[in-house]
Amino acid sequence: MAFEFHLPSLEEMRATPAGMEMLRMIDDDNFRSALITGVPGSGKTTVSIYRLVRLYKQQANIHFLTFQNMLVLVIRNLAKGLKVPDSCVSTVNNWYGQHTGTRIIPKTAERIIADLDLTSLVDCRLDEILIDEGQDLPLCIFEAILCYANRCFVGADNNQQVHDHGAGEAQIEKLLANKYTPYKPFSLAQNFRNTYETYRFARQFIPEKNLVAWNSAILERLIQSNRRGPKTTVITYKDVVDRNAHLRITLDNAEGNVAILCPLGPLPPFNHNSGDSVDEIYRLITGMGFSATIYRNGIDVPTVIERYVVTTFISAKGMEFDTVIIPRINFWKMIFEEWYVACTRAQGRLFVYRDKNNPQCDPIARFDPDTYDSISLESRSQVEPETLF
Amino acid sequence: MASQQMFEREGKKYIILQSDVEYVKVNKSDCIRIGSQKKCINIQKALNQHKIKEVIAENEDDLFGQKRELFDGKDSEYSVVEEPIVDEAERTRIRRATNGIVYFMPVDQFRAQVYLVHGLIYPDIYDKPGLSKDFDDLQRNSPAELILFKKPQVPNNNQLLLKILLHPDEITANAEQTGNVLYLSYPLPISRLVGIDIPISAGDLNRFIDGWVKPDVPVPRHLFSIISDLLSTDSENNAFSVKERNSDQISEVAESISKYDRYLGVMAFIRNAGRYFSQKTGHYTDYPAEYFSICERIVGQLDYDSSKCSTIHPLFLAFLDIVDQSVPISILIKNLTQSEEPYIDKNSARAIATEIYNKTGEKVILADAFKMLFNEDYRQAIHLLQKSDMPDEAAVLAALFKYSNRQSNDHRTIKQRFHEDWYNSTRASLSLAALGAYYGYTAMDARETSLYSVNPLISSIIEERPAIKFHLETSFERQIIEGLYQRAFFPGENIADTSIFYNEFISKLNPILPVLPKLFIHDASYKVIDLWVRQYNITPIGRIIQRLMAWNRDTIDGHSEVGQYLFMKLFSYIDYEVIRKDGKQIVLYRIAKRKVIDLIKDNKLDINVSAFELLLEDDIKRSEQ
Repeated sequence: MAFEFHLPSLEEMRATPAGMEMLRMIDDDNFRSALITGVPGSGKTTVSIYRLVRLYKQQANIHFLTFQNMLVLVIRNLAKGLKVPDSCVSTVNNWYGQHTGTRIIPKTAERIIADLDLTSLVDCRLDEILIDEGQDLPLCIFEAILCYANRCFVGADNNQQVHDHGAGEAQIEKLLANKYTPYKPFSLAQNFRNTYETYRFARQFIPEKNLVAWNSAILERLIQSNRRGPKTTVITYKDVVDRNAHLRITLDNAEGNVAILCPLGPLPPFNHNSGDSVDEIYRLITGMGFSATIYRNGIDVPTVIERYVVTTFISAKGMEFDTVIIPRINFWKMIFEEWYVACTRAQGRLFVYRDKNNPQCDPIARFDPDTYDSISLESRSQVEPETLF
Repeated sequence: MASQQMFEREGKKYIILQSDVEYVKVNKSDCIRIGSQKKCINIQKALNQHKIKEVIAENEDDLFGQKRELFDGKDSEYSVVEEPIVDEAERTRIRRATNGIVYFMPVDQFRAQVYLVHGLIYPDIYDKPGLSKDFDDLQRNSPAELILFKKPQVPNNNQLLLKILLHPDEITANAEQTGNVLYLSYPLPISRLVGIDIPISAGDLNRFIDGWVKPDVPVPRHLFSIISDLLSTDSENNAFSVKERNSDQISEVAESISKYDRYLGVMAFIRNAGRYFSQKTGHYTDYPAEYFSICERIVGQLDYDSSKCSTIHPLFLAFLDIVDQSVPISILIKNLTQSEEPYIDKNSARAIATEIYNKTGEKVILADAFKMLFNEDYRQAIHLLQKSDMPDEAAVLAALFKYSNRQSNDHRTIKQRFHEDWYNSTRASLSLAALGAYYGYTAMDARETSLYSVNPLISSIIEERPAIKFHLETSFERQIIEGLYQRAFFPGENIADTSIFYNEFISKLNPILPVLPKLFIHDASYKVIDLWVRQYNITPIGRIIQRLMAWNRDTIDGHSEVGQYLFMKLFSYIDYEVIRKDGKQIVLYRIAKRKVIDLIKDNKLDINVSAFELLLEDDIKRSEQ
């Protein structure tokens, strides 16, 4: 079964702090350029995808550009269901390559324009170009490609900038506001997709001195907005065979899009434990009969995406899944941020397998036991409460 | 002569569109007087100036019947579904009985979408706190009431003009009328929405509708139209005279809204239950067997073949408060569906499971199934819980517990493996009804994400994404919604027969019926009022073709049971060669699987269906080993 990406509903959007503003942004075409900013999870990409779907359905000539290969795949998957063709979504380099024949983008606006002037874009301007993760694009790209679209909608967040040559929010804003008017800036507030229970569990990976993650207002807001769900399930094991048997049941019962997340991509040559590596877990679960997609650095980007996705903690950043399964949480070094990122990918259920053979590398040892439900595979009868079922 | 009046001249009929326009019958040519002007103008000039309009109608009754009341003198932008063909006496009877009046509501287009999401047209005060404050329309002025107008209002750029059908009795009972403005203190069911006008400034109509892409918003395309030019010239626009009014919530109304959401949720979530299993069962139907039996309990007798009726499980009726359920475990399940918790926690579910276990004979297998359920193995549990000696409520509880998280995609993901998880169709429908009540109509998608298991022989003739929510395409739908509304909002009163009220909206549009290959598909479709219900059964031959298509091989040869069976029957089509092995002559032969399928499809192959099916099953099993 294929991965399914669902856009949030009208009622879900209305219930968020800037819901109506987001809704109006999706339908607003009265600008030459617009910049939407906000922290991770605020809904920038959601608004852009909604615009893509709406404009395509209204027969506009549009294109969606982003940096992440995985995001391209996910959006294409979503767009398929809504009959938006794959060709409307691509990475910046692929889009440039499709038009000019080379994926290498020149470093000045003049040279980019010189290339693009030889393409069909001159005669067939886009009605709108949507750019996600704009902070990572060099300014010259904005200076050039905006000449080939009647409107431009850019999402950006300085805090998520990973490329040094990226323009950043401020430069993009300056360019759009001065050169491509009317210009409309939109700013979105933080909008957590996790439940209270998942967030309360996940933040324990981050040291308490991190006041952002430990901001008590976040939990309060999650309670106020009724974002509640079952607690994280922590499954403790000593024997990998037991873990695997349980993992099979968990996978079989996992609903919707399922991420199986590991700290490492390839299998390390030595000193590895089962559950550390994407490659190993991918082999394990496909061997169990589950059709899965593997995604990590260094291998080809998959062309289709199954509902089971095996990837690294880092590669999962920016995405969300109905169910997240971490086959082994223990790791030889403290990867606070990565653990946190991995756990906060869960929109619904989170299952964490905890290896009792490595008590020295057990981040959950110091967790509040009230923040998770515990299952022990070594002595289940001792852990289970004395109930009939 | 006042506005709305008619006159006839030279065999043509005209309607006067403005109150200051008068028809001067005695004048020979210039016969239309405007205001107090002495000089009259001729018919053509009056037409050009939109003072009058020619009426093209078949008879007088069309002109002075219902429509005059509905439009209050305005041009007919009223995009009702076409009327049924009824005889004249019946037509008159209906008109007198219905007496519905169309009022107008200019609303923010997002508010209109919210009404469609909820299936309810409701005053601001009943929205979640603070959520209606950003709507840009007049409804904000009177949070506890709906503001409607007797005459069309010109909507602003981001607004739409809704046309709402009201019954005179409810205007008397629940509304206060001040001039052109009507203040209605009660919500109205979405079935009363009979038109959606968009302003000319919104541009192309289809392009506008295509922009409505939120997954939870049902889009009744047939109700949309562009507001007429004429309307913008209306000088009697008194929208701005609406004053701010009180804003007290009535607790009974708030409770009724929750009930209505649950009732609509039940009917919307079970409606597609007959579409989920066609690959497994070879049976497809737009609506499950129990659906219309339940509908009859909501609105009274329906006009359809009563042999289609099935007995209704009392739990269905309990979810709709139709009967008081006396079985205690059913009450527990019903109460669970009314929970407003964000999800059903293990302890609550376990407590009900214990009750079910205790009250149904403490069966070991039931305890085992519940143990699996609470150990996160729903798939094994639900298989056990559908065994015939298990209580129905146990399987329903399992589904509710597993898919209860409101802050997730549970309402979608339940459908992904539904065909694998369920083999008892009544319990499958019961679980959907329970979840429909639990989620409520508002939380659902307008359409299915996909049908996950469709028989390949019918996949091309059915929709990929059938509706979950009501799209107001039939009078049948409107009657069901109205019935549920009356049950939720006026529970002590007898359910009124709404069939007459909605007869104006009976669709006579014939469905586009596909040409079915009768050899493979038996068509048992039928009609309920104006709803066409497709029902297909794959024939035994169809089943064989389906299995052959799925069989993982391209050719059939003498090594297979089927190949041996076909040898003599298909001698003229088979490629064969005779070889000598160990001194014996052996005939080697084979035929393309595609060829066999084509011969069966063309009715050129006479086979014993039962025997062929058995042999094929054997071959498939062997090739899978």
